[in-house]
Amino acid sequence: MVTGRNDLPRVLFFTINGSGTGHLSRCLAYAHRLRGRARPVFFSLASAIEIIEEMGFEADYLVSPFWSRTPIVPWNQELAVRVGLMLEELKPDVVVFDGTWPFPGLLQACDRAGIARRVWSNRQLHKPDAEPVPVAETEFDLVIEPGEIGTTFSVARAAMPGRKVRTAPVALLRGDELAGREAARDALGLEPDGRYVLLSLGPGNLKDVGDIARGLVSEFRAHGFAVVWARAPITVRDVALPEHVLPISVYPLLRFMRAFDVFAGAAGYNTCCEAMLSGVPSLLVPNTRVQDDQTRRAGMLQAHAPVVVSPCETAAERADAVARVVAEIVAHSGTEPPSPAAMPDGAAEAADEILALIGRDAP
Amino acid sequence: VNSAGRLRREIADLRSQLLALAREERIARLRFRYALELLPPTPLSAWRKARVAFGRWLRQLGLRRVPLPPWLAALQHSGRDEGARTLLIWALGTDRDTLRAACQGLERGLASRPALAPVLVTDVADFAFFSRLGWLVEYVPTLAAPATQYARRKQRYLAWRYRDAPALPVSCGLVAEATLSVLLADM
Repeated sequence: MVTGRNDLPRVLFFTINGSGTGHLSRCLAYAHRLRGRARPVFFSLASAIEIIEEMGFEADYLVSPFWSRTPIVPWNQELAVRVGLMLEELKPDVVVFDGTWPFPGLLQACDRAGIARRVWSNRQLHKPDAEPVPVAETEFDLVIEPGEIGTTFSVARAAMPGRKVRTAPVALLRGDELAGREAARDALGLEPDGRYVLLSLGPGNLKDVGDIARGLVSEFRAHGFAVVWARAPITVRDVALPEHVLPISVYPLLRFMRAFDVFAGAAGYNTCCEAMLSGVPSLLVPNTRVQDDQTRRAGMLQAHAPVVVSPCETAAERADAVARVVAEIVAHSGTEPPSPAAMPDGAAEAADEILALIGRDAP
Repeated sequence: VNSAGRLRREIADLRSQLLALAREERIARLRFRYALELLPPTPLSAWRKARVAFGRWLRQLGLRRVPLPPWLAALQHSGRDEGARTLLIWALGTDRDTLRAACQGLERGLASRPALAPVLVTDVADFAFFSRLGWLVEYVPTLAAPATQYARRKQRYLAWRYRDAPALPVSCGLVAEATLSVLLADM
């Protein structure tokens, strides 16, 4: 059982279930930086509860509206009751919502339970045609915008409610928590001298990644790489892959990223931050069926890290992309990974803001 | 026959336990407190506003029932029928390996019955496994103080939420396929 400390301020993280575990990972990053200073508890719509508990935090779960067949209004009604129960019992000092669209059920439960302080962690970089969100930022005491690559901390609006800060990029771990290549290979049971590619194309619940995955496996194998496949914790059905592919279920995978010579994955927020932090040459395959503009984000990352961007939809695109990323490996061989000191920690900045909010008098 | 008879007694005991649990929580008060208020699409007339306020007052006094919205147990990706009937599988206090074996046994029996939508109530966080079953999962975590009563209150709420559904103890997944098949046919 996960245990929580009673003498610390209680922070309830409410994380939505997007296409992957990005919202959850971001809240875990904040919670990780709050260790010893607050007691994080999760109310998660993402089903990866075991990874929350494995990181030492308490958690409850409610099925996401994207998975449930319940219509959205009665789902919100159910949400209000479920969150209400949690708020009545836990009595958190602050509720942190991470997601694009705050649910009416959550906001009303906070109102009814008398939750004084609310935070909205709201990742940006939406596609140009994204629908506007009909919730004012002033519904929250604090709005945190996790920064894209190259962003540094700034205060966009100081006044409360709706104080708004932009942080540096948020990654689950700090740079100094990543294992070195040798230690990471040892931990994962990989050969010290092998050539390894890590494929992590997401859970595939919104987009079938099977063809892309099998095509990339074939290309990387032709270049002499052994392929390791990261099984996403919220996958509803596994991708069928050749027998020589080694599946792993490790969280946080970021800790062991440097075990690999090359990484291939979707271009979600967390993946891009992790590619940047690890310094591992990466092939990013933007998912165009999600709300954020992954193609733009991957393009931005190219200015800072050894990254190749490709949709990898066709065999020709995959062959070209793999050839280019293999060239990046050659170009960056012998390069030291980025120094942790040179990478500002956006999660720590957000955690400090949350704690500062708790320290203020309730409105 | 003995095995089936013992299981039927277990099922009846579980049913009694769930009914008792559902009675413990003051559900009406809870649901009233957190009743969702959505903004109306157009401004209401004074008469309509008065009617809404009157209805709310009646519900507050307990003279009118809070309307119950549908809560559907089937998941989008589950392949269950549109109007599938909820089947509650109660699995608190079961270790991870036993739970996996029982769920696999139940899934074998349920695969050919898309008219049933399973809901697993569990205190084991094994969601990577659960996700691949395609069942709705209701998790009952144990939280530290001051939330030590949370697990009990959630159990009560779940007993109420699924009060109209047939319920099986998860141990039913460990019986012979033929026995399970007879049980499921009754659901």
